[in-house]
Amino acid sequence: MFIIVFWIALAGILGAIGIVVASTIKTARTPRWGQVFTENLRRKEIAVTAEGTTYRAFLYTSTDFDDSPEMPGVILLPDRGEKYPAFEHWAACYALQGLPTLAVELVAKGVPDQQLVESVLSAFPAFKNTLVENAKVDGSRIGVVGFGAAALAGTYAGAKDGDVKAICCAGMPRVDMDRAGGARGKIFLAHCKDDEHAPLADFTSNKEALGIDEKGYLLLDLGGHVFLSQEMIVAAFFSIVMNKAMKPRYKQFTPAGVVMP
Amino acid sequence: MSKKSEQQEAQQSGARPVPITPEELRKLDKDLGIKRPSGINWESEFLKKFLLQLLIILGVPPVIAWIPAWIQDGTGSSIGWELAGQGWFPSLILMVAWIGLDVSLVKWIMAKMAAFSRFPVPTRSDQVSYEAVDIPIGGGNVLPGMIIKGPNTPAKNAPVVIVCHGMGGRKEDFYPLGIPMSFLGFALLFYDSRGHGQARFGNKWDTAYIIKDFSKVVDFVEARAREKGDFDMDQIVAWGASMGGGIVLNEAYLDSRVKFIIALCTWADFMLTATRPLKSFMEKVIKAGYEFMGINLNPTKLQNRMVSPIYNSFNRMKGFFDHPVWADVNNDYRVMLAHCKDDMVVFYKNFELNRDFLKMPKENYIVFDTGNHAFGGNETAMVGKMMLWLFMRGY
Repeated sequence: MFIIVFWIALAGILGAIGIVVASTIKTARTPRWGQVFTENLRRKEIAVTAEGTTYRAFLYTSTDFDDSPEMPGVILLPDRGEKYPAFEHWAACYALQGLPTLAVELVAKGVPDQQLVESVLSAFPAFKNTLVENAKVDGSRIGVVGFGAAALAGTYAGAKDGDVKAICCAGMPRVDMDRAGGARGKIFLAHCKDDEHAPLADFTSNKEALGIDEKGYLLLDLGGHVFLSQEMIVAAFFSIVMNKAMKPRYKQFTPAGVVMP
Repeated sequence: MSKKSEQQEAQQSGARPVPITPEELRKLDKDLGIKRPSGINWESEFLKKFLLQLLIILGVPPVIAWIPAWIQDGTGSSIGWELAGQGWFPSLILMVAWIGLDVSLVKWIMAKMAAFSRFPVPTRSDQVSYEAVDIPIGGGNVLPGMIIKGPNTPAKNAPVVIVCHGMGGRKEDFYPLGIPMSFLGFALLFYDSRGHGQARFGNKWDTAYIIKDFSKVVDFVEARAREKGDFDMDQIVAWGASMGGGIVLNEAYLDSRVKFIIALCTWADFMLTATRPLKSFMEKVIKAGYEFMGINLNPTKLQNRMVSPIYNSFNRMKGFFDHPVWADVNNDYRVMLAHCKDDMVVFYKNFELNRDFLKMPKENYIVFDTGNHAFGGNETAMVGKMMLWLFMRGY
């Protein structure tokens, strides 16, 4: 009779262990980055078709800027394989600054880097049109933020497009200077020394070839190709350089009150 | 010369090493001989009750599991409590299973607490410079500080951000902030509050004094601006998170020398957050953790007034005798707040109180639905908003 109590107690304890372990695993496996929930941020999914390929894109805008004039916009090209919502935090950073941001999911499984670059490059005008048509964006002041191989595409596209005023590249492999020459003066780099995909030599080569001075790049010791732990620093660095390059008109808070420059 | 005296000499000469990883920090603390009293707040009824409950939950069931076996042994007759012919075997299995449950609970707590420490890789860059300084606060005591400058920090008259860490934290916690802010043209001054980090005096629970020390840090900036000219005395930004937010919303707010104030996830009324009914087990774990540090989370009304900005500082400035007097403060221009609705440490009502007391326009704050006390998953978005707030003030 008492042995029944034993089996019930044991089943209860094992069940509790199962629940706790499942919860622990769930907590530990929670992706580092996900959706950003704040009422200041608005997101809209858009399908962008270019050259026969349909891209899944997300347009981010800030509710704080609904009444503002046209602002510069940002095209965000996450690293290959980074699926929604892993890149949303980057987009939120710029969108909350009043810069409507179109983030494009570039899954491209099994596609070589070079092919990915070419397809993104040919789709870039479509991304730009989508951004301008779906948000209050000044089409002559576009910023590009790219990661890894996608940064190469952003650089080549920005180099030949006068509307692109800032190109921010994180963990970018070595560029082809025949295609990137036009990016001089508006390109900014962020890199980690321990990047295993785009080695430090690529960064050094890019920096020198593109004539980037110390104020135009951010070189961190650690973080790898994905900028682990350094995301906030890179996002802030790109915010600063884009603000200088794209000159968005923000209302100014002064001791005497709020003024519009 | 011993290693310790070498360290002390290096410290006096201003060539203090710049520890960044937890291992480096531990080593430096050890080399400097820094020890802290345990300071467990045994006066706390909550802590005693919590520990007793924990002890009962963890320890009593394994003992209960042996009762049937003892009854069998004592009476000499079988009550059916046996497996494989052994009366002790079911009890042993239950005890081991319960210990397994205890271990899995501890692992679960550790996994939950990891959400507060989302940056496993240290942040370093050769592009910024570090200068160790000692900030005198009187009585021969100094707060260890670190000045960070970057490529865009002007050599003369740089605007300064004074960074205040949280309760139980240390100045190194926010070094990463120094890198982008220096690209915006700031110099940053990080310092260890008394009882924290490498400060050699005080205790972690000296909250009211920790808050008051801030004005001495501003004195230091003022003196340095006069002597070296590298800081702009008219452009001081006070930045703080959690207790650091408490520091800046109390002491920095009252100080007319401080131009801007950025306070993240901080309290409005310390007693309100410290003595609230706790909703979840994790909230109890966190509160117990603070009380293990010795923090008094059941302050008197007078203590509470000294550290709660809604009573102590809002819409006041320091008067002739340095005591707060009512003043017309331009909060729209001066203050930024940020908070997460699910903050388990400083619960959300505090933010609402701060926002309402300061009558803040929406441009001056951001609220995230999730992220807890560390803005987990929202750090980049939060820093984006902070940059915008600074851009809107001419930076």
